[in-house]
Amino acid sequence: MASIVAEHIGVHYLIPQAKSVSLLGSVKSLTMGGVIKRNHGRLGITALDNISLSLQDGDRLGLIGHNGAGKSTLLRVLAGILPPTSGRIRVEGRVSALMSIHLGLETFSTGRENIRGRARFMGLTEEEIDEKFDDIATFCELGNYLDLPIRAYSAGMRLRLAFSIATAFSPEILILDEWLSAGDEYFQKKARGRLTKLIDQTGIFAFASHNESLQQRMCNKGLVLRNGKIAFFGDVAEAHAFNKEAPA
Amino acid sequence: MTHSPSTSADIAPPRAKSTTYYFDASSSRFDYAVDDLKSAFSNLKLIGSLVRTGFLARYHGTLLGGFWITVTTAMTVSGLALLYGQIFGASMTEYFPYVAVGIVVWGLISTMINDGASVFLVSSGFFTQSPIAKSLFVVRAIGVAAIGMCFKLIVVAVVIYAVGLRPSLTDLGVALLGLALIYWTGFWFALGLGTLGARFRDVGQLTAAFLTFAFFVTPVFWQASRLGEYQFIVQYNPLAHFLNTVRGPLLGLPGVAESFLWATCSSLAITVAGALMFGIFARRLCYWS
Repeated sequence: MASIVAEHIGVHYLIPQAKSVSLLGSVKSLTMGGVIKRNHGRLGITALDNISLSLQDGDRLGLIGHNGAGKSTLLRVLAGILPPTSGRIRVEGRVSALMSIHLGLETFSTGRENIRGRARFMGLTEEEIDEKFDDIATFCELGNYLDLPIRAYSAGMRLRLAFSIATAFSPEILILDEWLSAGDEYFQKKARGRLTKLIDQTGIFAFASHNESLQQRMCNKGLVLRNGKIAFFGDVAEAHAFNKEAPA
Repeated sequence: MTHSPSTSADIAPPRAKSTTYYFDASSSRFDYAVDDLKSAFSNLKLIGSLVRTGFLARYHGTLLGGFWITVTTAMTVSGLALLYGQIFGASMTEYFPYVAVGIVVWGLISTMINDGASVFLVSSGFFTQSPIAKSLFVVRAIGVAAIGMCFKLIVVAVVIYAVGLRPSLTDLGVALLGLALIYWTGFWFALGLGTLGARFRDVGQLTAAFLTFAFFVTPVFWQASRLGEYQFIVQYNPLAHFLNTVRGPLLGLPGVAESFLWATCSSLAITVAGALMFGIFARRLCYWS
């Protein structure tokens, strides 16, 4: 059983390169982005501020907020990529974070080598890879191209391969930063079905997006982030309503 | 499990289970680094493919592949040995293997130091975008250096054989032990220096500058015996001792035991310093790089 419990999560960091930007010095908060503060004469950003939240099996969380509100940062904290600077978090269950699905692909290796390499990169065991290998090879429909180095692929073909690998393994917690799509119209339809099925099989799903209708369809909970703080947490439709009624 | 903001009981440190991630910003300092190291070494197949692709990426599409390293090493060694052999008036059968082992082992040490300083900067794209162990990229750097070393050792083997040296199995074993000590030290050094280098960008430049200096004050291609009253340069230079743990046994040079003592002590200090550095700051790496 999957669960995520986060208590008073904060992500604060200094920007070493921006020591004396006097222009920003007087700005206490912006409508966009985390809160910029001065800390011992240096500029710091508070990307997340005192976030507490608890998710369990069946929760489909939609993250709502404008650019820089902290959606991706929160997803990265939940995925175990970014250790927060304050607070604590406990995540039970295998996490799959589909943020950079190209990561770990090697241009000089063949499609087949890359299926294995990228799956290892995602933390999967050899048995799991063996089990899913044919499924990936069939789904991407790259045929003989799988035996060529992927530098010979078009951008679309690469994306098809990356997508097929990323969505082959069913995690307990799925984290998605914007909807994934790949290929031409025909393949996009196929990809949509596969991703939807993956989400349905997942215990907890966290999804950041600017696409309201998609989020309403895929999620049952909504969390509105404003300058790194939780402005609203509840039903997804209410969250969107809140987001429109109370603009930052 | 309740759905309301959790109580402390909900978030107690987890029982040992690989699918559980727990992080407490106020106390998980060393645990975070230890988990990172454990995770890095838990998947040998992943290490294998990362090292392989990391190495192959450099030589892909070339005719000789990794043997270009052999060629480059052979050129450097021959050039140095022929020229400085004349200048120093040394006997070729002694000087050629001396330079060969010196250059090859020095190459390993300097590669590990140089790559170590930037290891987290060049790999930050990976660990800031996916939940993967940071120390894995140190393992990768050391692994790539180790494969390169195999291609360089070909030169050493050929030169040693050609001049008629036949080191005993014991000598070979001791030299391998020295090499293992260098890899071990290199790993912890890269882990610590890489962490420092991620925070302070000057570290990489400083390291490169220092290595140039160190190359000349370490008896890589000149013999320590020629120093006269400046012997202390070699005596108190840990790099010279690391070098001698491999070259000494292979060529029958003196002071191998003393060098092992020096190298082991230096190694211990570096291990502790590297572990502390990474242990304290591993969780800041995502913010720095």
